[in-house]
Amino acid sequence: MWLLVLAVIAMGSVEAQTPSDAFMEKQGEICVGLYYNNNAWDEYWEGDSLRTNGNIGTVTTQSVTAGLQLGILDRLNLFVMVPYVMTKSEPAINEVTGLPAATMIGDKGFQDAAFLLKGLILKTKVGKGDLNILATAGITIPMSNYTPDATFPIGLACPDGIFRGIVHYDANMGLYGRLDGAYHLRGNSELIRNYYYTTGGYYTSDVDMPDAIDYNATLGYWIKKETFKAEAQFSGLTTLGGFDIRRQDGGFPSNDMEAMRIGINAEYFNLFIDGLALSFNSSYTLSGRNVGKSLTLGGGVLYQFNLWNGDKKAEETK
Amino acid sequence: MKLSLYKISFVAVIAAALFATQSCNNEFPTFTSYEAYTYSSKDETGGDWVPILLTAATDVTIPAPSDVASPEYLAELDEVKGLSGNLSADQQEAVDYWGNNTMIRWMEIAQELASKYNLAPSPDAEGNYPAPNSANPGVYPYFPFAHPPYSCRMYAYLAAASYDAMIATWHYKYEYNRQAPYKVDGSVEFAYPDNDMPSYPSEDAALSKAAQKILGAMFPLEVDYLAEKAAECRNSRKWAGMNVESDLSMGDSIGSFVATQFINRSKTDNMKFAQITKPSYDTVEANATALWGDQWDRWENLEVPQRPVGITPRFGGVTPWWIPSVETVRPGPPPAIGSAEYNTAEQEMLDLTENATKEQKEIAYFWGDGLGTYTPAGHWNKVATDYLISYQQNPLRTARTFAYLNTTMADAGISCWDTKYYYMYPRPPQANPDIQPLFGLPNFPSYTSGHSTFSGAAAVVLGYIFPADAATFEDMAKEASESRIYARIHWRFDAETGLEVGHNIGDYAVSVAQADGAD
Repeated sequence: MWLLVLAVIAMGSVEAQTPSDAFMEKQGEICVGLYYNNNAWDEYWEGDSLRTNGNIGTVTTQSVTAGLQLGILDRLNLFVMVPYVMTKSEPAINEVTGLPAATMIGDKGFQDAAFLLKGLILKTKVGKGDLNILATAGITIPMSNYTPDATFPIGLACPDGIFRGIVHYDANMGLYGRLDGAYHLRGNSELIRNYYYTTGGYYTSDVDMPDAIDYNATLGYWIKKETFKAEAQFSGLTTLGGFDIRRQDGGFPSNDMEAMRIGINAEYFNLFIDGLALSFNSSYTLSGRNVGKSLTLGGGVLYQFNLWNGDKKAEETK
Repeated sequence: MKLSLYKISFVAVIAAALFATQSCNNEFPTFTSYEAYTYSSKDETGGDWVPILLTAATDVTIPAPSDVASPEYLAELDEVKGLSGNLSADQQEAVDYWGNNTMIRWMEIAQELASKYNLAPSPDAEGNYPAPNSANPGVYPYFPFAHPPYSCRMYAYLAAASYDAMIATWHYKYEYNRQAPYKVDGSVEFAYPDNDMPSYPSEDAALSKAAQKILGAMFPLEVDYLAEKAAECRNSRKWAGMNVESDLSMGDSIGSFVATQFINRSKTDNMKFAQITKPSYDTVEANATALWGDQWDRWENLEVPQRPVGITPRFGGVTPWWIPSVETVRPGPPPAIGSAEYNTAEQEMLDLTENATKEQKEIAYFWGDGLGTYTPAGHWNKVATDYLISYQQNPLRTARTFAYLNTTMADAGISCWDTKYYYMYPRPPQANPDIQPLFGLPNFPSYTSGHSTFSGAAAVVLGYIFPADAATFEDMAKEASESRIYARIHWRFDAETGLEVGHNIGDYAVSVAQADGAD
């Protein structure tokens, strides 16, 4: 592993759109989606020092994620997401030979499958608006036995238990705000090597991953009621421990990773036909530690339909 | 009903998440764990074996110890009795950690320091690469840059000095035959299995002092850390009921004397000329171009910004341990670009760029041993450690295993570096940019493969020491060698020739070892 500064930590990226918002499918409804994300950076933080590295140049991580949100109950939804991730590097030009630095090959494969449940805990009137309190709990698990020993690995290769709280306030004037935060209880990552050095030597392939937290503050507006919404978002994530990349060293799964990002999301519902939606998202890293200063662009196609007839009473209480 | 489904689902998910993330949270060992063991041999005549650098064990003079009935001895015995009977948790941990084969720990410390210091200098804001300076080791880039040549030489000095120290220790142990404190006084609790060996002088004090001095010379910023480790090892001998103070102080004398001999050798082994500046490097390049310029484009560093000088172009001039000269083992030239053999090798690189299997990639990562690691020589020391523990080698045999393994790998490094800068053959991605490596290209020429040369040499030495496992070592060496092809760091002929030269170098060392009196 010569250089492994991960684009964005896996956490938060695949589950950004749905498990952290307040939207619930009704019982018997399902929404299936296909998302594409492109994340690229040519600067990264080595510890707290921002730098470039001509040998890796620009590092791009692309992902295609198939996902579903199923209304088990009106107040209980299941999420399943399966991302396929590809990494690549485009090195800079060697000024003496006029050639690019040797291109270290990227990696690709199925990354971490996510299984999450979202529950609506409380829905109440506060002032003129509605206050929703929700919680998400679940796991992401590496699917494909990919390795973080790759130069540009597709993920951190550790299971992640995610516990998220969401507070959503809809002012009922088209404006809404949301705060959410999650604790990531992370299991071990596993290398191919059976000896590695972090701040000391370890005689094992297992890597002790620090836990992590992430949080988002979101402000949204329905530009066209129940049809087109746009959001501005501030996001942060930080590992609770880990160590800094040393000068000219590669990254490591258990680095101390921190990032603060701003982003925008937009979603258009019932486009052309009922149930069809398009989404768009973009975010940018403002500050960080042992991560790339990346720009993410992504979009998705979603289709919602009834899988079975839900509870009529629940429908009526809507 | 629905509410209960709601609750049950959440509880189940949380339980599953806890299980998935925590069930595999096992230990993260910072050393090789082993139970203190009964040695498979005592080697009472080990003091007569031929040392590596000393002329004989008696180069060191150790006075006769005081008698076990003398007041001086009894005072020392009282100290050990007082200490060993009543250990704190930290002391017990030190006794368990150091065990009854402390060389294993010193080799691990060496591996750890190699990993810590194996980082190439970062370019500065102007795109220049500052060089580490041994006169000012604490200023970035820190000294040393423990790249493979530096590390293989470092391991060799540590291991060879340890072996000579053990030969001298064994000599005086069996000359004076003073019993260990737990033998003299049955009330002293001994922490390890009884190997029924004389305790004067202490093998562990000799090893610790030698290691502290050698590693301190190699890693000047770690002098305090090493002193702390050596003191802990030394104290743990009293806590374990194993040695009295005079056992230890005479062990210190042996370690100190032997280390000085080796450090003196290291000052005149030409390592100080190995890393050269740009003007001298231009000469190295011009020589290679004059000899081979019509057959291949001279190797160049492809990094951005370009590193102006490769790693230790004159490491081939460092004094070897066993080979008569680098010219004796230098292989013939690699194939010219465009030759049939080259074309086959190039096609293999292109095919692997597209279609390397998961298994091939995993082999490449497993043997990667690149920057930030203990280097290939460190990897082989880890292999050796597991075997010498399973064969229950005593400290003398352990030091011998490491000594022949590491001096031979140092010769492999010296020879390989001579070959690399003699031919200056391009790495595959330089010759054809469509060849994409799995990880970064090392900053030295391609032909021959260092991994292969180190591994071929290591397999021969380990196969000699552990003959029942010779085929296993050979398989490992072949895998390590091929790992470089799978990673597109090396051409097949780099790997195959390197492995063959490594075997040849191993044979030189084994012929010396066979005559040292241990067989």
